[in-house]
Amino acid sequence: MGEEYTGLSHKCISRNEIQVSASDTVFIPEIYGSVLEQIKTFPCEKIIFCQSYDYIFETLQPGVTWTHYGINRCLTTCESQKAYLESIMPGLSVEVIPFYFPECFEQPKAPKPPVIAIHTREARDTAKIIKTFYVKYPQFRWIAFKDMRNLPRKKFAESLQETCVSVWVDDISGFGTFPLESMMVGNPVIGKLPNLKPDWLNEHNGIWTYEFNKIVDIIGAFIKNWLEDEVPVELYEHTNNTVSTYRKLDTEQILCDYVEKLNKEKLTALNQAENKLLETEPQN
Amino acid sequence: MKNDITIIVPVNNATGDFPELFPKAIKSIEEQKIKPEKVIVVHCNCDGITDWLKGWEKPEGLDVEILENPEGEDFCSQINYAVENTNTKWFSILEFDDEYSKIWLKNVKTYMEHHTNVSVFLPIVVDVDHTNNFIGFTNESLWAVSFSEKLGMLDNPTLLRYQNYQLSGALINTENFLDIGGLKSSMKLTFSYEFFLRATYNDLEIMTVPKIGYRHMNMREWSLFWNYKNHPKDRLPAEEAKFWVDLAKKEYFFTEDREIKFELD
Repeated sequence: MGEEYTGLSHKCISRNEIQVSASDTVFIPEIYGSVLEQIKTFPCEKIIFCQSYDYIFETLQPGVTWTHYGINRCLTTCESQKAYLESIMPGLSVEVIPFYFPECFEQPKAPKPPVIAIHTREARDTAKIIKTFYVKYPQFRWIAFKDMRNLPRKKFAESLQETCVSVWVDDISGFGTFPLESMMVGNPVIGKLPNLKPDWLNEHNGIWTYEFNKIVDIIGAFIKNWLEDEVPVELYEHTNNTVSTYRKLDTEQILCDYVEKLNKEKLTALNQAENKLLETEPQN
Repeated sequence: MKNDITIIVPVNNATGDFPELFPKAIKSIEEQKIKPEKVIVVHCNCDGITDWLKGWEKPEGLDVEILENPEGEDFCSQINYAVENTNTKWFSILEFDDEYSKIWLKNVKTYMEHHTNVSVFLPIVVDVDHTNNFIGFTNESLWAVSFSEKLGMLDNPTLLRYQNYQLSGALINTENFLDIGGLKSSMKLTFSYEFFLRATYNDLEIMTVPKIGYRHMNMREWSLFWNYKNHPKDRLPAEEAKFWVDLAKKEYFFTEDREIKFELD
């Protein structure tokens, strides 16, 4: 994730290093569902942070949901994931906190080189696309691909700026960070439509297909057009419009507002409980 | 909008398909999104070319100068003469059987703004045969990963192992071109290769703009290189072709065009 995260303090649950009270809030990423059992006795508020809906059931027993562990709040990144979460866990209160894109994802001033950024969930898909492309379009063997997986964020942003188009294959993506980051650096995106369509994706802001095997032909056609300056200007305009919404969002403020609202709710609930207790106490 | 660019079109005869191809080449200049300051049609007053050009109607949107070169009939002499008569910062060579793509000058201008140290901007050349069928690209290899020392840039070590780069269509810095001695007439068929070697040896930066900029008709019948390959009188034996390549690798250290004599044993 990059060295800026190494400064975060860590505590070990299994060694009972954490002491929490009712006023505390614990955020749990959906992939760490396994800790729910360990922290179920914590007297605090627990909120799931769900970025990828596909991992929800990875660590849960059949028939069990988060609500079984006393969790009834969840944060997610887009409306389509929210709708999905509410459909499978009706008692859950889901709120959307939009994704934060750091400023390093900006459009470079210099013209772009003929390099293709590629990001696929499975490494073998990247290899398959590159090898098929070079066999099918030998005249473009000089066009380089850049595998964008496993790069620290800043290096990732710099590398992405040095490409002219992005290829995205991720069937289980819950939000589509890579295509949006690509659009932010000025790259059109060639992508396979994921199982859950993200809110921002529409027919104009990328070159989308349901068929994996067609991606190579789309790349071939795109490169030919790019070399001849024939990529429609509208495509760049639509990608820019898509990301401009995210650029304007102040995610930090939205998150702070959410926590403030949460604290108020907790305080109100606490006061109500206290009043109820006072009402039920015997009068002398 | 005009720019600090001169296009040089060398012609040496008005025979064959010249009357058909020359206007197409000129039209490709007219169709540029940004226009050059000047077009110089340079000729050697031979094979009816002077008469033909007298009857040719110059395009209205271009400032065309017809220049007669008294110094020699060969391609290199004509280019050198035209460049000496150029007063723009940049020039480009357009062969009469070739064409620019419409986007070339617009794109090269963008790259000039961001690569201020570069002296020669090569286009990606689309090679076609005489029936306009695609044969392949030239100059594109510099964008292949690990092909040259720096992506997109041509350097001396790369040239020593790979010779096939196309000078026509490129935007060349006039002052730098003249400083290193221009093209060498004595180099026969490897004049552009020797020029690239000499330019990189003299620390001139050469880059390929990764856009289609030039359409080159490869091996057109009776063209210079077609003659070297097929003409019964001008055809070069393989050992002579090798001689010229090897010679380029020795001559590029010299700015002056030295007298070369070739004799087969």
